[in-house]
Amino acid sequence: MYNPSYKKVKKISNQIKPRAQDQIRNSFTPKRANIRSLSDLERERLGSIDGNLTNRRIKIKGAARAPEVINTFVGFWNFDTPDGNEVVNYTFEFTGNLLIEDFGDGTKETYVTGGQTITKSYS
Amino acid sequence: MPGLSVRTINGQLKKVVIDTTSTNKLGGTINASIINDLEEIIVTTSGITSLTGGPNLVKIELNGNNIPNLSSIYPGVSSFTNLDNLTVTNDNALTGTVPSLEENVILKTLGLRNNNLTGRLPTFSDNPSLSFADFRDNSFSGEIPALSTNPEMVQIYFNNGNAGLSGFIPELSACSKLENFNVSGNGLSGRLHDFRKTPNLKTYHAFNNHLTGPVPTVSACPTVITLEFDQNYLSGGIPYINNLTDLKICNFNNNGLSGHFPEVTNLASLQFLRFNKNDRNGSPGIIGAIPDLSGCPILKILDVANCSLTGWNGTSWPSIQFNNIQAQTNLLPTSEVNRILAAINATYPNPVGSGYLINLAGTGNGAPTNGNSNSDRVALISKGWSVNTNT
Repeated sequence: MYNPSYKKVKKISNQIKPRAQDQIRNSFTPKRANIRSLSDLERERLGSIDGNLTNRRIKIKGAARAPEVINTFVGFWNFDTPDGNEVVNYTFEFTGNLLIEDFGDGTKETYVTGGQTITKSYS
Repeated sequence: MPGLSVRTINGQLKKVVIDTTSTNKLGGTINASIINDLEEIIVTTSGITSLTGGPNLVKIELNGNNIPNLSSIYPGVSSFTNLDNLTVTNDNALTGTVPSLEENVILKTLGLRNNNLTGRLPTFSDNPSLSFADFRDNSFSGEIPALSTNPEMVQIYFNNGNAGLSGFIPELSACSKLENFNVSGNGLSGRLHDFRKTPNLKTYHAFNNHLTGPVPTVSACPTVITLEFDQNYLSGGIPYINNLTDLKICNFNNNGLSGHFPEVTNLASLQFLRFNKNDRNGSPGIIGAIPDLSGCPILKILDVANCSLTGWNGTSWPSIQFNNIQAQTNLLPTSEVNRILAAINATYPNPVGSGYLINLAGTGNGAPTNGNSNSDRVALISKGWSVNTNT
């Protein structure tokens, strides 16, 4: 017969450290009447009657589009001033899109393909 | 200061490879820490003097740059806890010592070949995944660290070329996957390890040390390709090697080995066979006869000089691959010298290129019949061979 030991069974409340209990006790607890969901707000905006939506339709113009997340890494390689005889092969592997913002001499390259080697001659 | 800048859109930059092919280098410093997601950075012959890495780097590979010491990899090698490959090679500027690797617990590859590093080798006790450790061509000193906690080890290179390492060859019984082992050119003493513990060995180089004791049971490594035990103080007989069908290089020379020539009827890959000058420790060297060599169809070099050989058991010289036959300073009588010259002459009916050498001269060997006018000797010389015999 299964007989759990006293040590293994702990009340959930006992697992919360005293400091955490104080934080819960002192934290702001909103009253039910103050809580309004986004759905409530939307119904209110559209003019609901007794919580039921009226027969209005919303037309969204244009296609939905995820926002672009752009990261620019300036000065990844800080080098000495090229004297015009340097030839460097760059290879990048990445997800998404990548462009060379600046090769270090003011030139750039867009539409870089992952794994592609780009040979840059400094002149 | 000019510098490379890149931009990502809806994605992450995982790997950057920079390889300068021109003589002129851009030099400078790389700050990979600004790309948080970067996992691999490889920089070849670009003259950089430092690298700052991010927390997610898995691979750092720097070859032929101007890194002054490993402290110039910021914020420190020990901070790269996700690293499985640290390679810094062929850097003439790289000096100093190797830092502790105890925080790099998932490290698999550690390549520090051909720098100017000094001090003691690091310990590997906290790197159980380490499979490749290359410290060759530096100026290390002290003992080789223990390898008892490295079961994944496949390749070990501690050959310095400057007699820097001392002490013993470590116990390798935990390294059952070991394939390549090189400790040549050091000041190691003691015995060779037990080859039965490393059955997957492919190459083993322990030449030019102060090793003593017998040659181990090399037949326990049936796929071995290279065995180089030469220039030590090994004693006892030459072990059985006839099951080593992949064996290409077998150098047991310049030791104190003795006994008869081993059986060589099944060595289809053998190209270099050297038992010469086994007179250390007062040893008489190899005795008896040179065996029939038809079991070594692509042999190129046979060096049995300075032994105590009295004959040759073959009837025809087996191969046209030979270009270097050295059996000087043995106990070969005139009849055996004649037979060897005639057999080689018959095997090579046409002129040969440069570098073809036969040496049957030296104390103890007989002169061929008619001395320098021996017809086979004259014929071989006319075909381009360099022939050295007693007169």
